Amino acid sequence: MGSTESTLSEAELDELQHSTNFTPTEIRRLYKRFRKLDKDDSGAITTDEFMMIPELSMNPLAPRTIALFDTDHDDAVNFKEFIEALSVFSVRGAKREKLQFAFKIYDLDKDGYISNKDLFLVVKTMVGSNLTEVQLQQIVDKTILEADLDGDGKISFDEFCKVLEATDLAAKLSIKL
Amino acid sequence: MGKQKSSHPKRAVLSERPKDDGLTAEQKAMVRVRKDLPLPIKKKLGIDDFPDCDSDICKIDVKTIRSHFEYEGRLSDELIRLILSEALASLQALPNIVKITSPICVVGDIHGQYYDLLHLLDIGKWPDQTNPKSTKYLFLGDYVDRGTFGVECFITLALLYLQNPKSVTLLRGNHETAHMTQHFNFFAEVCSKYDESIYDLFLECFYALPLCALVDGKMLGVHGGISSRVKTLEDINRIRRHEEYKPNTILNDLLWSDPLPNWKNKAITFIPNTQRGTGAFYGQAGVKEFLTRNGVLCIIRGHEMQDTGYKLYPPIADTPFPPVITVFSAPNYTDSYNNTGAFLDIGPKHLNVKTYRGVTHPYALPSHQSVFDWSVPFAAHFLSILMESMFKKTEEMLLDDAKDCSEESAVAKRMRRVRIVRKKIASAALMKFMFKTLTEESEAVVKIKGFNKGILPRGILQKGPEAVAAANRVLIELQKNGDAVNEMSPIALERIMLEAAGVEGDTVAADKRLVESLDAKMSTDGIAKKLRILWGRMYKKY
Repeated sequence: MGSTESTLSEAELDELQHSTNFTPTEIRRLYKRFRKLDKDDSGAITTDEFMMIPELSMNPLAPRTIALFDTDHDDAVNFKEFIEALSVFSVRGAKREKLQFAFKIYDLDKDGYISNKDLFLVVKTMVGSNLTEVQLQQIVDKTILEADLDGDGKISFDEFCKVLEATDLAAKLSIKL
Repeated sequence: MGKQKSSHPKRAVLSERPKDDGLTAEQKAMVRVRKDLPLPIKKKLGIDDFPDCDSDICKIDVKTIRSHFEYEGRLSDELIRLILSEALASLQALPNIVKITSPICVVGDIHGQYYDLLHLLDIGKWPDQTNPKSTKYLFLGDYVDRGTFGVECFITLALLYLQNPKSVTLLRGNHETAHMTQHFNFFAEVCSKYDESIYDLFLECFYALPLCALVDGKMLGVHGGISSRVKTLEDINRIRRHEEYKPNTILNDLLWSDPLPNWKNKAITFIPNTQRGTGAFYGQAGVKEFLTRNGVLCIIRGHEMQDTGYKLYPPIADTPFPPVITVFSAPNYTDSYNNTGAFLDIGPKHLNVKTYRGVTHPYALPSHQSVFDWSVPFAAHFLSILMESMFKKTEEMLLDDAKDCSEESAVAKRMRRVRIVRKKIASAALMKFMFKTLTEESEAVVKIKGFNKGILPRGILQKGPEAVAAANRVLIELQKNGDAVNEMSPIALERIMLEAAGVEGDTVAADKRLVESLDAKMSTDGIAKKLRILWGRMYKKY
């Protein structure tokens, strides 16, 4: 959908209402915001245009996350892709949808599993040179083996959800006395 | 003087990997960027692996435990409980001052550096229950915190003690308490490897550890040192030790005190220890009084990192013997000091020092988080930036619209919406700020060696998220400037953080209600969790 019209057509509006959690009013408003981000009016936001948002370029996950918005892999995020991603993060987005998005951040080769190598490469972008490859491999190994409940050597979406639940509980510390 | 110290730790030489490692074929076949590294083992050693050990603790083979721990394997719940409850029963029966004889090796702080502990035991030779002539050991405490293998260190030493009670003595250090192990990383370590109830058992054992050892009636071993409160050995024997220590007590002083940094000053006996914020500095004069009054030759203690691993204080008065000896057995402390480790070998006619350099060890995140938990702030930060910028665009558009309006009511309507959007911008900006602080913390965790996340003091929470972030940033900045802040008592550090957050007076009582409603004293992990819930219901609310 590369519409460069200043408004959406009824048909487009209808389709987006069905594929997202937004009302028609919200979709129209979001479209206006989308047009503002689309600086060269090309109908889609490129990675460079995203990076013009201050601070976004400083975040190591930015390229990866933007790539995830771009579901048809044409190196730009059109309105449909944009609004479908935002729908996940709206208040009405289901918890499961949000976890699925987070899962995709780590599933680098897009095979539906987070493999040892996937996790290593994604975390490397966040760790930079602060850890050696050896150290990074060691914590990736521990995380994978801890989370891999069915022993297949990789993390499925269900196993991923369990890890996040478990670590949330452990994060709650209390003084014993 | 000798050759330059190498800055790279020696590669640890591990025992043979246990054949049964509990990994599946698929796990062993995982494609890994660094496939040359051994995978941690998953099999848990249990009571069944050592027949009859539940009636005879000596049936647990220390060599098997060693190779298992070396590859990061764990024990079953049952087995670790057995070892800890046996240790508790035995330690509880000991007096505050244990009487032992030389020849003996005296070991200082270990701080969870398991692979260095193995190295030093290899050098001094392991205690051997089949050989009454095997090396005797006195350990001066601080087995846990800072390093990430506190469990393995204490369990190994507890076993050696249980199997060789006449030749292995374990004393208590200032880290063997609830306050320290929760401020530092041992509590997190036990929760990640086992669970909270096992931590409770560890704590019981720590409280049961004796405080001092008297070697040949002449040398006093203790973790920190003495103070003006400790006049005689009887004063030490008289106290109740099985508890969390409180400031300004004999128990506290024994575990926290240090020799006076300006040792040359002959006049000072004891002054408050400003480095630690608790305990005493003991000067020559104070030490001399104590030694003479009690017929003791010297105080052997740990507690202070030494570049060469040990320090012999210059003799005072008549005897040529050093009145105080510090021994520190954790080489390359917190993976950054590059110091040598040492232990003493003392006999009726000799005092030798054995020194050694650090060896490599597997890496773990200091808070023992999973890599997912560690990396979540980066994703949350990204999304909060996007959200804030979206709301800012809305504000822009509404203001543009309002300019084009001629009707007053239409303008007013838009300005009402602008006010609503500005509130949304403010809360999005706050979220962005909080998640940014959390990403800075995640970065500090891997960048600053020995970084300690700590626990936020009460009183800060009621001031709101900005105060929390300010206190957090102070902690990060302090640790960027050196590890000295981590040698202070957490109570003293809390005062600094409360100041940074702008908390005055006694706000503890007021804050209690808030804390109770949050159901726990929250660590920065707890704050992060609360924010995640607010953000987008991404995590389960409970």
